[in-house]
Amino acid sequence: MKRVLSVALGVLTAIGGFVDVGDLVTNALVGARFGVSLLWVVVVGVLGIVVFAEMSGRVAAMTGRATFDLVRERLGPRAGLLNLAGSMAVTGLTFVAEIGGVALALELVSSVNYLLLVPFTGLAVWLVLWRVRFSILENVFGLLGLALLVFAVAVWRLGPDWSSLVDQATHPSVPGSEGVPTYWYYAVALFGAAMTPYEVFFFSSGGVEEHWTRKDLGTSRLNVLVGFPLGGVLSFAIAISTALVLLPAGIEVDTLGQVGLPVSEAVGRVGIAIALLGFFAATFGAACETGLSVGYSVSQYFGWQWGKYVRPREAALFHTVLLLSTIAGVAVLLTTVDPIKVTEYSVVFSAVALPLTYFPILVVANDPDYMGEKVNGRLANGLGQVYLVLVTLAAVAAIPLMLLTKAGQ
Amino acid sequence: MGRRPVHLRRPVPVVAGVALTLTLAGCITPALDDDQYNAKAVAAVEAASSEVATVHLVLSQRAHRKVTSPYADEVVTSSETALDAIDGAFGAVQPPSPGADRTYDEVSQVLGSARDAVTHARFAVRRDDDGSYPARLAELRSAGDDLTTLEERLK
Repeated sequence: MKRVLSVALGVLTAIGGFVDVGDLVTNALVGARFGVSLLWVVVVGVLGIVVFAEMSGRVAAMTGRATFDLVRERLGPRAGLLNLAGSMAVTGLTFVAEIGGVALALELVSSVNYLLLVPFTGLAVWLVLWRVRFSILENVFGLLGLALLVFAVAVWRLGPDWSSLVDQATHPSVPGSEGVPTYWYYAVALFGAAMTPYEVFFFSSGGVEEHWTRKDLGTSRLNVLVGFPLGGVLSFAIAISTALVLLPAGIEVDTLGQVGLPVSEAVGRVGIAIALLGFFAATFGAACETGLSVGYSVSQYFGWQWGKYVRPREAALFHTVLLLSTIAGVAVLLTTVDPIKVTEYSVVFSAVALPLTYFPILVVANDPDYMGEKVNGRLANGLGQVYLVLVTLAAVAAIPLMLLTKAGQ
Repeated sequence: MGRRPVHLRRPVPVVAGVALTLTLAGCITPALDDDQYNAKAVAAVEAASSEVATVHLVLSQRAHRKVTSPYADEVVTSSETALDAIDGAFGAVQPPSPGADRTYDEVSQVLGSARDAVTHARFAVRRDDDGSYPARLAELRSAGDDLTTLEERLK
């Protein structure tokens, strides 16, 4: 029974922790502009993150070591450092976006300007990273993130024409009001949002923190294979809800407040209160995960003591990185840069950095010296190679599409 | 383990590209001819329409008590700020010819009306003045219609 509860908790937190500010904003924005014609990208992205998260979880369980620990060893210090720099630039940008997302969520509740909330948000994130136990952090915010299921309730209450929705989603086309490059720009952004690199860093490092072994492979796979796709359903619900309410009204999403309007329309005040709780949990949880991912990756590369299960005194450099990256994130936001714009850029640059994250994982997961008998099978390898081509195409296309469309305008 | 390093795509150009792209994507570019100016006018009017529609939706939700007052206030205030930015960005572009001045005047006038309608909506939301909501909604509808009419004419 305890085992079942543990697995259920893992799956639930995987669902609730799947959505972050990038998913919230990008899915809402795309739904409001393109209806459901880009939902296929969410399916492709979720399958991709499932493939690579399973691989990285398996690597962590079989080797007891996390991604960047192995990247340096397998690729050499120079290539590993370049990989680290690229990945950290994107994860750092995502960290800024998540802290900004927390402040924006709090602004919607309190009417206090988000810039005043940013320093307190940064302080709260750092305190949680410093003091709160890993399991509490993961479970509390993951479970609270389930509040975003209110978007699914909103879709149900809005009573859409399901056959028409399914038809539009399965026969995607570029809406007449949008250009083809803009359609593909947002396809790349959605793909980047679904496959954000930090999710894999966090997942594999979390596995090492929790001392996964071969015996935990089943639980890890269940979390990934059930939790992530069901988390993808939240992305679906957000996009469909904005397609049903904001698209017909001619509203384009450029604030977090607009994301919640379909929920208030369908479910009322209780609904929006639940959605706000979900916004807070999703962004705060993701802020902790991205902050930890920065600390994990840097410490793993340089071979420092790292982790939430280690006393801060024994992992001083790891905690210094957490503190400095939080200060840097707050400082960036205090320049008054728009957190939603940071989010939009972060998901596109995530797409640019995808090969840096996923190529080494594929290499290590194929290496029998590390993996023994749990080396990639034919299916994992086939999917991994297909996705390596896809992430490379997305990475190559992202910047030209951004320039061509003036960042999706 | 003594393995030969596998060479990756170098992220240094990626990081440089990030800085360059952010700079380029965020710039307000000049309009070199009337067509470009017209395209900027259409974009400004479209963006303003979205903000007016947002305020109309949230105000009608507030009228039916579907949203809390702080939430409605934040959404309306954000749209008002966005309208200021749209107006400012469009106003910063030099009309390329005397003929484009007329477009500037028309767009500025409609954006000004939209801004006023949204500001009045903010007053009503902050005072939680239920009685004025129908009039504010009508003003927003009218501003939205004017924006749509102008957008169609400019296209």
